[in-house]
Amino acid sequence: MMNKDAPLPELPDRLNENWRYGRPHQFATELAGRMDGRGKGKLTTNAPQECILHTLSPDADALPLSIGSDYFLRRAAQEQSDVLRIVLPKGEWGTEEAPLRIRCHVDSFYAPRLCVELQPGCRAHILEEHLHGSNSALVCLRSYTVHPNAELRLELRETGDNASCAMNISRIQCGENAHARQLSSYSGLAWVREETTGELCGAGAELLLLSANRPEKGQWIDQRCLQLHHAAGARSRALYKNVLRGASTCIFGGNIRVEPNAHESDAYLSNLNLMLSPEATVHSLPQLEIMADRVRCSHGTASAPIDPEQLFYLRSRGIGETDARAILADAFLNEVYLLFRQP
Amino acid sequence: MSLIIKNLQARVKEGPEILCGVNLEIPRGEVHAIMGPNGSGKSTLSKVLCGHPDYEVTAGSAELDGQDLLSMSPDERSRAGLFLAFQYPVEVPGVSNANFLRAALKARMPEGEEPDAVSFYKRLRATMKQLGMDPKMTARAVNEGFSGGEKKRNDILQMLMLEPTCAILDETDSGLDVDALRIVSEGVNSLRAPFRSFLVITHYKRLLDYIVPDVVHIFHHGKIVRTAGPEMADYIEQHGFDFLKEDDA
Repeated sequence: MMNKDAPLPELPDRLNENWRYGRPHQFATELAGRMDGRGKGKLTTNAPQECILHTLSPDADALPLSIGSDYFLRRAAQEQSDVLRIVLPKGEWGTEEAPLRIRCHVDSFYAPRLCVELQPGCRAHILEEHLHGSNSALVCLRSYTVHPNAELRLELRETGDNASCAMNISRIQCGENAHARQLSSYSGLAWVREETTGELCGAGAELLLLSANRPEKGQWIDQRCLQLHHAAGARSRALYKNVLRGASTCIFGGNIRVEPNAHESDAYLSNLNLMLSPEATVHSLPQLEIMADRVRCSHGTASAPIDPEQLFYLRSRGIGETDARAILADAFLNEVYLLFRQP
Repeated sequence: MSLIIKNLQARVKEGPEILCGVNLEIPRGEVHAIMGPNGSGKSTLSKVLCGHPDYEVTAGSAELDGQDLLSMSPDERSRAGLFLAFQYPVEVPGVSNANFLRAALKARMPEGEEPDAVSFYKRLRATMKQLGMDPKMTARAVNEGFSGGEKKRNDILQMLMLEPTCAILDETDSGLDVDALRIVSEGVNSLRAPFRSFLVITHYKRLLDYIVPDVVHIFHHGKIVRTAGPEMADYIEQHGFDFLKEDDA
């Protein structure tokens, strides 16, 4: 657990490699200023009462790892905000059609802590919704622990207005033969910072990190992910896709880190952006750190406007330009949804 | 008269002239074939007629059933009744064949109306069966991962579903095996009607054995230089295009 007496680190700025792009000082200062106010919000779930706890387990609930936001991680951990701890035993919890729901209502400023544990043999479909009131801010510390032979499908949907912002610092740990996939999407918020660390802790573990977004106007979506391979013989994939309109900006920093002895790891990382406006901006920085042998790791990133040949093909069949562009934008993100839903 | 092209001249934007004064009239109910050496401008003609943005028209006119094609956007030309079966059909990942065709049919309907789902799928499956296509292809993304022959067949499926009044087939036979060529040709022939015209661009007579043309044109240096009956295709098959060298001389 965190030492509450430890001094807070400095606010992130451009010298922090993980905050290099965008407007780090402005965003960090604004968010830190909001944390001075009294937190308001509500964290609810339809999980059975016997699975719900409101206190943390010192053994099980380690803080998420920071990918540059140590300041916010520490401050949020020190806040006297809500804690929701869900422990799901072996069995089926939720379905694709009727997922288990976790709902986070955000008024003004809110810094909840969410810890979900899937015990061995558990299979869970979870829909985590973050619903922002006007002009609200969220710093959410999320931990999902997927024990051996458990399976998690987690969809995170965050919606708010153009005066709201959100920071999700998340950790997904996968044990031996555990499978986890997360799909995140952000809609309407002025600024989003997402930090997700996926830890592969056992052989046969599989992790799929997905994100699909449609920023517009002056929205900023800043996403960082770390695929951390601790154990040999695990597999991870990350695919982050954005369709950018207006003067929106997407920032992506992704890293695959294969620890010593995590031999035969298999990992891929991809960030793809469809640019529908000349004013839109993308900063993309995928990286690899390999410290083991016999691994298969690679990454890719691409940002481009709509393929003019595809657009012409649709128009040559009578589909008007506006509709054709909308169809191609939907099609671009469709791959993400299909990957999330595939058996 | 269905398609009337007069003195059509066009070029790749800011590039050299490729079409150098094309004159062509295809009455309703007729099939015209265009043959010609590589690089003579046959595919350019098809793309210019359909409004491909890489080309600009520098002179001339093109009308379909009295409508000025050149003043229309590519989608307007399609809705006006023009169809192009592409030489290289484009892959569109993420858009299923069924959704693509529904969008194309919806674009032809009044604002707010949509094709009836039950009758649409019934017709789609029947048409796919006619072309020997696997019904599972309705759910596959448009042309993604298709073989060359499957792509051509898929373009003909679109043509049969959209029922244009004038269809241009740009080397539809390339990539098709013998059986596929016969099936695709039968599909095209099933659409032949007194109110519909076809322009078939090909290098080989084998396609014209199935889709028998009324007229064969020879395209050379960006324009039509010979016009004859279907026997011209036999002549080309036997003698090639050497006779055009005399024109050049």
